[in-house]
Amino acid sequence: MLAVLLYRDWLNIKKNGISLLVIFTMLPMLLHLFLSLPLSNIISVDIRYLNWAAPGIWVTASGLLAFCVAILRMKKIKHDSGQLDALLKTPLRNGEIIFSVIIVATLLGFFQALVSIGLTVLLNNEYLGFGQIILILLQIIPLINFYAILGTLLGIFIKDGIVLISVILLIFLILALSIGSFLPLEIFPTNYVEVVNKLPLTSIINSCQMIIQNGAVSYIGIFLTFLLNIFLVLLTLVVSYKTFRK
Amino acid sequence: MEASITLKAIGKTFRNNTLLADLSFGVEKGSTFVILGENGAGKSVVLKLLVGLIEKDVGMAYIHGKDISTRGDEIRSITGYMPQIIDLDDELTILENLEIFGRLHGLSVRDANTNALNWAERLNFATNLNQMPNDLSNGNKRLVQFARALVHDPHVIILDEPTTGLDPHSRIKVWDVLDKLHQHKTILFATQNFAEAERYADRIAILHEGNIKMDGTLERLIETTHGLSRYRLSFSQPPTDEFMEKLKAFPRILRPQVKGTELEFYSRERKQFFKALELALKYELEDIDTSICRLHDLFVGLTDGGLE
Repeated sequence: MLAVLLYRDWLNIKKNGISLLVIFTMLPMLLHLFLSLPLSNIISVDIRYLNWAAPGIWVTASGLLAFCVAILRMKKIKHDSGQLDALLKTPLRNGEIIFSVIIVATLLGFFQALVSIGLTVLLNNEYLGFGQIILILLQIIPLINFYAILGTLLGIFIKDGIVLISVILLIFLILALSIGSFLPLEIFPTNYVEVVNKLPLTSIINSCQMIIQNGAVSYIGIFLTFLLNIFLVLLTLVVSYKTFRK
Repeated sequence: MEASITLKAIGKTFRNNTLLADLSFGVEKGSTFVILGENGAGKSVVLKLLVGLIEKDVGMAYIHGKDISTRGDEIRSITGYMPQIIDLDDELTILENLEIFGRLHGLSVRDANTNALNWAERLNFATNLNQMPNDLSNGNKRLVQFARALVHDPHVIILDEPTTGLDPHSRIKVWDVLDKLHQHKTILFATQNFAEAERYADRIAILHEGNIKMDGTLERLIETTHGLSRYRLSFSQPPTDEFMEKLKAFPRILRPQVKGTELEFYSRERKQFFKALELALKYELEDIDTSICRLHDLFVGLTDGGLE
């Protein structure tokens, strides 16, 4: 049944293929143009800023895309035009609906990450080896998955369009500006840095920056994000069993 | 006959409103059972409960001997449900809608495609198969929903006001299909259309405030009126208060009601009608109409304080 739901999403993706390709390309390019380039004139870090901020583009673009896909799909299923009832009257289980949303959002986020890596490599004239790209993807995939699950969970609750836009904006601000993606954490107050450094997401971004600098990479962020994802999936399933069938 | 659907003492409350109260009824395999009720009587709740969209608070419900609480997945695979609202997937074409829902009910890719094309042909929307739902009229969307409920060849067909919004030709098409399926399938549908209930139902239940007020075959339901007839007198002017006072003095004239220039009442004795007629002739009577009690009268009586 999960395969049928994924096929349904594939049909929809095919119809919107060109729009998705435009988004895949525009999102990292706009982040580069409006965040990385201006900030490169203000912020100085150990290496060239544009190279240092490239992981920020990968993480922000892919995380944001996964989050938006998941929250919009879940909101549509749960709150718009009786889609949830249409699915629930089939032998589908709640878990299959939830997993289909998470898988599709994660996959699209993954493609966004690939496109973002390709574009930043071209724009910054930098060289990334195959091994480095694999290591970067290994770090980013749990993060994309986290935002896909978070989007799915929030999509169950969010009905209102204004709230939806506000939440997406909030997620963008968190991803782009608060966990060391485009702004080095050193410029924030010490107390804030102490807290943020404990977040697995911060660790993942830091690890990606270390990969391109050939520095020491930490894998603890992947492990903690993976645990967090399991917890969030379980929470989403519990919420779905509480809210899907009235 | 073997039971196909059984509900025992079902209760459901939602936000402190009682939707269903101690509801019990059974539907035999291969029969057509109609639930009649006014808006908010709980018709849709019963149907949604059977397909697992709503969970009951108390009571037991079975479809083909399977408990809906514990074997919901199996039940949904043998059940076709058409809701009252249009819930087609607006991101898929009509053909994709039918195929995906067929496959979600366990059909192979090939069977889902064959069945989808077959239903589109039978219900006359084959030319719309590659269109998106939003490009179709509401009536055609309802036809597609009807096809979607049948695409996986279910044993039990549950329909919520299936002909609402359909033009007369489409209505006939839907009922032709149901007439053909009737021998092999159990059909349960909710409606407010008395003519359809009288024409197609093997058994009818009248639902009011979440409970069955009466159920049985049409003949048995009509029998409960014990020969009651409905009389309608039309005047050139609305009946005067004086006339109504005199009419109400007749002992066996039931529920006299004025609707504009028309007076409607019920009685078991023709003699009472003649007396009323004699009185009415003094007040510019224009027309008279008499008929035996039908389902509509019984329904109005049961849901609006009784005929007597």
